[in-house]
Amino acid sequence: MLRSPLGLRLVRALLAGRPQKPHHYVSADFFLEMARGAYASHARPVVWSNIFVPSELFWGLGIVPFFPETWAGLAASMGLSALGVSQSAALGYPVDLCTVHRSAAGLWASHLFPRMDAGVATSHICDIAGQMISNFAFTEGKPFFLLDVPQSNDGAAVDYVAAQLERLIEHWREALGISFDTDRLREAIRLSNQARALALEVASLREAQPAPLRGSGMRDQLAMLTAMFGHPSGIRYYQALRDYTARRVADGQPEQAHQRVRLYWMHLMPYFESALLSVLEDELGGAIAWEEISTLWWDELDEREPLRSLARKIVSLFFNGPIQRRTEMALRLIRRYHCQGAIHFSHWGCRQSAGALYVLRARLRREGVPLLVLDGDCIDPSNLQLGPLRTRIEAFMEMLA
Amino acid sequence: MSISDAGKPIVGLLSAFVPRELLFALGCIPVRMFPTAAKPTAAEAYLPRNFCALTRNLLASFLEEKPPVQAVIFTDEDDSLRRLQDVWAECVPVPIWGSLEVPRTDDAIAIRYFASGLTRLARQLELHTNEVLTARRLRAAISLYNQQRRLLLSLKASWLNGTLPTPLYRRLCRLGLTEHPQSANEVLQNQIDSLSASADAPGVAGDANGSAMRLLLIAELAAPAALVRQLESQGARVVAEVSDLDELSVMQMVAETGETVDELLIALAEAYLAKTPAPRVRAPSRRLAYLTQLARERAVDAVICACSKFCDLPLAEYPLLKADMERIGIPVLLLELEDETLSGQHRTRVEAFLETVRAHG
Repeated sequence: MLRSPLGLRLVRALLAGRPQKPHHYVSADFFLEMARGAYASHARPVVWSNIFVPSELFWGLGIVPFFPETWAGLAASMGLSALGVSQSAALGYPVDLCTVHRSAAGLWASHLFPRMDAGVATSHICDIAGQMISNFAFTEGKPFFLLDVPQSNDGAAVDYVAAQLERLIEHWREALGISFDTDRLREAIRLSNQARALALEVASLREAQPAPLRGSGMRDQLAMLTAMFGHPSGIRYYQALRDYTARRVADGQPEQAHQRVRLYWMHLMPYFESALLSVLEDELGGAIAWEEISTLWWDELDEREPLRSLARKIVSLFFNGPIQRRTEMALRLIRRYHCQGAIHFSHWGCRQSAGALYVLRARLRREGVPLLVLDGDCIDPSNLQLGPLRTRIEAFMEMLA
Repeated sequence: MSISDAGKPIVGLLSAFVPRELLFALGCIPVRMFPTAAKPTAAEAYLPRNFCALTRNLLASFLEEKPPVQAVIFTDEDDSLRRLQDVWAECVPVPIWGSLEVPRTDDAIAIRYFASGLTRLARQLELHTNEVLTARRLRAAISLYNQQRRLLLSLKASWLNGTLPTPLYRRLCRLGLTEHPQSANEVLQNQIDSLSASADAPGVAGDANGSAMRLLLIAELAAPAALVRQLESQGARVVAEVSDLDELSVMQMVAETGETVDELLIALAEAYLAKTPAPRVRAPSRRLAYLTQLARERAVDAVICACSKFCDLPLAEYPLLKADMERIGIPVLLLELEDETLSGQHRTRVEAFLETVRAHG
């Protein structure tokens, strides 16, 4: 369906018929435009990437990015994860690997992904993301570029990554035949900064009590943060979200009526239909005031130094480097949003996120913030056992209340 | 460690990318850490149960056995080591003397960045050891380890021609990684002398007639000794081991010609980043080309991947490896191991695999 212009129009019509919020129309249009560029058009090269290569780079170079991780999440929301996971097993991927990447591999093997002209990935978090894209590129006979990202967040690390970004552009010029127009990249940086300013307004509005937005409705934020910046849709999206949030605050009409306890949600959420979050929000009054993945982590980009700015954005990611960066950010956000507790959703197979939970828990405990760790899966419904998780959430909420 | 060097701190390494030359030049005795705990149970309070088994076993070894090291050096090689470093300070009473960022590429930019990381590591170590890194000391250390590389290459030749048994060769490789380099070199030299003295003796590896099935093992740190024993007891012969113990160790000679510390650190950076590609470099074409070439050179009949359970990088590589090897007629078996032992199920799978390979001869 995605490969034909007619099919894309049909998808848009279907989406328009569903109850949507204003910003959802923008995001749907944005992702459909991406899909059109990737599936149905050959006008621009399609580069497969992990989600932490800055989107400004793609939009500023006239490249259509395709993020297998994001599309695996989208497929899960459409009930396609079983297909992805089973097909990846047929390819030989061991079952202990992260289901996001296994599902992506299975969807690729099922020919549900678009063409690939090249691959690129950063190395700094999630080992397997880059490896899977390099696997896809190898199998498709396409070039792959690894951006090696140090754990440090200092000037030397920025220089090192910026030098690689220069080489990456040179590599794409040769491999994809793109032309590099500095002004166009600067324009992407300007668009990114404008979207960033709006996203920061949303973040401020969400400090309100009661929380204006449902946390469960923000599960798509990582996709927005990692794909939209540098594209005009980013501005439209965050404008719509800002206006929507402001109205909810002004009218005193939060999306979630029953709010007893304010929570900070860490890592991902199930992308498929699950009662987990409705139990937390609607039955128990847990209000997710902020999600870790909604956090805009980078400073304003400097259009005079576009590549250094993007390098800085890459290395400053809160998942990069020692766990202290993540825990200190969590504490700042917990205070800012007046959260009484935190929940970490430990997605099966995600070593980078769950690996240092011991340290995270100890640090939050020292600050008097209780942490609940929920082991589950954001892609595979069969790996999310609602019964035991519900019991744990209930006990946690009782303690906090 | 059989020979102690009075007063010198023993520093544990968790990666093949930390140049031992640098530590030795600064008055430390670098030793590669191997898991000694029977089970990773002790680590489960600190790391998730679905975390790289090798990493959990290493942590459990420090928690249970308290290896005689005064400090450790970390690298940022993969998610497992990064998260292990995070929990380390909370649960292991062995200080971290340094953390080294290891690039995944080996171009000029990466070499410069790695060399600057080595300089920072040297500064950190100087604070702990009260030693000063000089070109003379670093050159001497490089020379010592180059000597070890030459000795090990000579022993590898003996292993490959069947005059040195696999278990002994592996023990010598491990000794090179875990002992004082001078004493290790003496042992290695003695072994070479003893092989020369018995040069007329028949082959001892049991495959003088060349009929044994020839196996390539792929592992991270080292294939379990129990696996090698089982394979050889069933008439197979390990002819290559792509792990930190053997093929993934730095076997390229490091240039000793640099006149300054900086020049010598660049030489170390070049040699360490140029080592045989592992999955961490995300370069499947290079990696598979290397593995298939090795398989052909050593006339390999089959491949066994002895991966640590939940160790993402080698596991994610497996489907490509399997497809590539099978394309050239070499079957592949994947074993996901929790620790150094082999379960009954693993043994059965190995037996069945060997039988299948033989049957398809």
